Amino acid sequence: MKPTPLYEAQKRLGAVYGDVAGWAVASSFGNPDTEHAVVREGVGIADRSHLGRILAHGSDTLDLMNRLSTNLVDPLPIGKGESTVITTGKGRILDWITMLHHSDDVLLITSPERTDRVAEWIDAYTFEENTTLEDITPSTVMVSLLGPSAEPLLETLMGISTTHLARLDCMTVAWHSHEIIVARTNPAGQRGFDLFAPSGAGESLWSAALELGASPVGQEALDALRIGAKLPKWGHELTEDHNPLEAGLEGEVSWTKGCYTGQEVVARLFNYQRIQRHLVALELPSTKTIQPGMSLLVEGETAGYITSVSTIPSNGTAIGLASLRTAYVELGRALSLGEPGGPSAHVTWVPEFVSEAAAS
Amino acid sequence: MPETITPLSIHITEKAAKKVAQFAVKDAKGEEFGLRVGVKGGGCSGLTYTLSVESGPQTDDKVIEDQGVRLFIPKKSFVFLAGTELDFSDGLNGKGFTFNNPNAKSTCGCGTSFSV
Repeated sequence: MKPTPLYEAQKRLGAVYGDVAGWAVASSFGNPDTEHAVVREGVGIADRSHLGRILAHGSDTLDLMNRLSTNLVDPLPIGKGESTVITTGKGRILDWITMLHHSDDVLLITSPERTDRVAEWIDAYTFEENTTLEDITPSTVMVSLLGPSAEPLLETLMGISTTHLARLDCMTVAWHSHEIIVARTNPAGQRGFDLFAPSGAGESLWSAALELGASPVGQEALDALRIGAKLPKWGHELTEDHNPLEAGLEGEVSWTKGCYTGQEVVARLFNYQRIQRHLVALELPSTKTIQPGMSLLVEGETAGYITSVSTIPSNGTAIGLASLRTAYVELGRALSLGEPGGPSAHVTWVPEFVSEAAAS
Repeated sequence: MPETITPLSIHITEKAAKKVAQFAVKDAKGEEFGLRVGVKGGGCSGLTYTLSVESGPQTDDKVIEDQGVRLFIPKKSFVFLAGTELDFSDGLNGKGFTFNNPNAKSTCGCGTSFSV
C-alpha cells in the first residue's frame, strides 16, 4: 500500500490502516464511535489524500467539462466549484467529481480508484481545446476539517474569514509561504472544508490543526456519516453499470444546459420514467455479517442488493444504502436479507425526486 | 475477387461543395478558402462534428480536395472521419450539412453526435 504524506503523522496517533485503491488510509484511530461523534459535535480532521487531484490548465476546460458531464459547469466563475457526473455515451457513470475553479486552473477531484480513468477519458475527448491535465495527487495532500466547529478552527488556523463561502466556493490562501486551496465542502454530509496543500506542507498543516483542537477521524466513521447522508461512493453505489439517476444523483444533472455525452439516454430514462433501480437507505440489524453485495428479497424475489453498510455508532442497529428495483422502492418497505426469511431490513429513505414522482 | 477497399479519405457531395463555396463568398474567405471538418468531445453520444469555413488550413491539418472544394481536417480528428461523406440537406425540413460516417457505431436522435 502507498503511504500518503501524512502516514507517519497519523501512525503516531494510533491509526489503524486499511487499503483504499492501493493507498494506506486510516480506517480509525481506535474508536470510530468517538470519531463519529467528533464530526457531529466538534471538529474532526481527516487525511483524504488518497482521492485523485487533477489540475486542468487552459481556457477551454470549463467548456470541455460541460460537454462531458451532467451538471452545468460553464460558466463557473473563479472562486466557485461544482460537482458533476462524467457519463459514458450510454449514460453510465464514469465518476462523480468535484470541480474547483480556484484560479485560472480548475482542480478536478476524483474518486480514489478513478483518477487515471478520468484523466484518460478527458484526454481522449480533447481535440483542439486548450486544456492540459496534470495529476497532482502525488505532490499534494488533501485534508478535510469536518463538523460544526470546523469553521472557527479554520479561520484561526489560516487567519481568514470563511463566512462568505457557500457550498463548493473556494479560495487560495498563503499559509507559511505555502499556497493552500480552501474549499467549503460536505464530504461526509457534514459542514466542512477541504484543504489542498503541497505535500511538504502536509505535516505542519495537520499538526497545526490538531493543536487548535481538531481530532483525527478515520474512514470507518466518515463512511458511517456518508451513509447517513445518503451520499454514493465509487465501487459501492457508483459503478459503470449504473447511470446517475439510479445512484441518487438526479440533483447533479442539468436538464436545461443541452447536450453532453450520455445526455440523450439520461433524459429519456427520466422523462419516460424508465429508471430501473434507485438508491435507498435502509435500517438493518447490527451484525458484522451484512456486507455490500448481499441480496435483498421480497416474497422470495430479488428486489435489490446492499451497496454500503455501517454499524457505527454502535447502538444496536446498522444503517445501509441499497440499490433497489423500482417496483420495490417504497418508504417503510420490509426486505429480507440474503435469503427468504432472513434478517429484516426496512427502507428509511428514498430520493426526493422518486417520492415526488410517486406522489404526482 | 479482390476486396474493395474504401480509400481512407473524406468526400463531399456536389451539393455540399456548392454550399461551402456560397458560404466562403458570403463570409469573404478569399481564394484559398476551405471547409474545416473536425470532431470534438460532447454531444449525446460522445463525439460531435465541427464545421467552419476558413481562409486557409492550420498547421498539421490534412488537406483534401474534392468537388473543387478543399477540406481541412485536424490531425486528431482524421481517424474518426476517414471514409465520411459530407452532404447537404436543404429545404424546410433539411438538416443542413449531414455526415455519413462509417466509423459511427451509433448516433444520437438528432444525428449530430456519434460514438465510435
